[in-house]
Amino acid sequence: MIEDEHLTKRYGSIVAVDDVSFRVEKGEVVGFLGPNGAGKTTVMRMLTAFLPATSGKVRVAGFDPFWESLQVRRNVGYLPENVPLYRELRVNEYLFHRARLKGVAACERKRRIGEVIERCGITEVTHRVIGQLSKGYRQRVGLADALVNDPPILILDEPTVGLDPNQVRLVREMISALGQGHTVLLSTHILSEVDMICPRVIVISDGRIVADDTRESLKGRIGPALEDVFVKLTRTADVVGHEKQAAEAQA
Amino acid sequence: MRNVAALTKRELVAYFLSPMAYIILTVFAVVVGLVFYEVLTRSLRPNITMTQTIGLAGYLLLSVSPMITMRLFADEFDSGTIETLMTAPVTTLEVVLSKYLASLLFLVAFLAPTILFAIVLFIFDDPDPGPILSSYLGVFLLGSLFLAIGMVASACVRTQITAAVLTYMILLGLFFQGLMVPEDAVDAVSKVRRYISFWNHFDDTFLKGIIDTRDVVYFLTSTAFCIFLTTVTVTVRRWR
Repeated sequence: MIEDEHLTKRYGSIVAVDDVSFRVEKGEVVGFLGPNGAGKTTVMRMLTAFLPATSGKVRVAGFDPFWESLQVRRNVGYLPENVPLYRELRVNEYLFHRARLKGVAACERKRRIGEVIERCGITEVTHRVIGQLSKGYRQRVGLADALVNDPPILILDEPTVGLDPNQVRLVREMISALGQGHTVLLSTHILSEVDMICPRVIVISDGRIVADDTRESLKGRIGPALEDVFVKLTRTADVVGHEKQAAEAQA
Repeated sequence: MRNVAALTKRELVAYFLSPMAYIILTVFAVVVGLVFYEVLTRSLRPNITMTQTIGLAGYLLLSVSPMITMRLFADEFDSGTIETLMTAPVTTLEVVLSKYLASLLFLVAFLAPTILFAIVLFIFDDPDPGPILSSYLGVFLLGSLFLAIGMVASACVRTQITAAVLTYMILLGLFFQGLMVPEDAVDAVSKVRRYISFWNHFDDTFLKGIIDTRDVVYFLTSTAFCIFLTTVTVTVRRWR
């Protein structure tokens, strides 16, 4: 469902994403792991047709995000980092607007919205103004928006940030349940999350993929705790980078 | 273009959910009302009364249109909602046109109360309808250019205040271009300066009852150019 080959994004001389290639098959739930500033958000923005790639080939649901941007957008539910929402609208008004934009048929809208509201556990705030909601509720309103047209692919940028432990559990269960029939790519740096819901993990550091494997095999290779895996993989990349810089400076 | 209705509705809702819209509309209605009263009591010629009022409404638009347009794109960029908006299945042109359409409807809401004055005039006097209609057309074209310029400015910056300030600077810059040129100057630069100033295309023609194709073309092309420029800016800004 998601394929990208040699994906690269440069901002002037800064390379944010460097030659990233991976595939996510239908029905997979993949954790996209990496330290802050590793390029997770940039990759996700390129997959959702928000940013064009500097070079490389991307297919999402069989479409190119640059040339067939609308088809890609129809097939992807995206939850951006920090969950931008229209603060002056009420939750149900916002979801209604988004459902309409995303082409949910008029007769289906009410049912779909009711469904995602229940699923995301925001029934008690449906008539509240978004700007007055807590971070946890806003996060779930964003999630409801991503799900409202029932897209086959979900790209979620840190979906559980700002939630309390009960809500985190709810969202995790929801994502696991979505895995049947949906393709999910979620970014996070909360390791326990990956441990619970993502059978496969892609680790990115400094814009490069440093590991792409199943969770179990990664643990087998490096250590029993995912934290060790994470630290080892991302630190190595850092150290390699520093060594390279030092060598260049000397030369 | 099927999303334009949904997007326009959302923009209008955003306008009218903030107190700003009501304040601007009220102040505008009161000031135009006072202007009409002043002109009415001083002038004995009903034809001039209405066109003068509409001309002053043009000045007022110069001061309020940046306040209408400042939030259009700057707010989306500032709050990050541009990301959810531009990853929904809508084209950039649809978004730009919807935002513009919403601001145009706001302009209509501005001008609508002044029609009452015209009705009063028609009841108690016998004004010539021609100049009144041409003045309305002129002030609408003028306002739509102001809004289009404001929309470009809003797409270029990140905060609403910067958008408003930038729009004022562009509008006043264009406005004074026409005033600063000596009347007898015939060199090319003076001609260009006179041409780009919107006031010259409004004051001496529409308000006097003349609908000149050159002026209509001036307003329509410059408005269309601003809409094009906004589309490009919004696309390119996302790419960086």
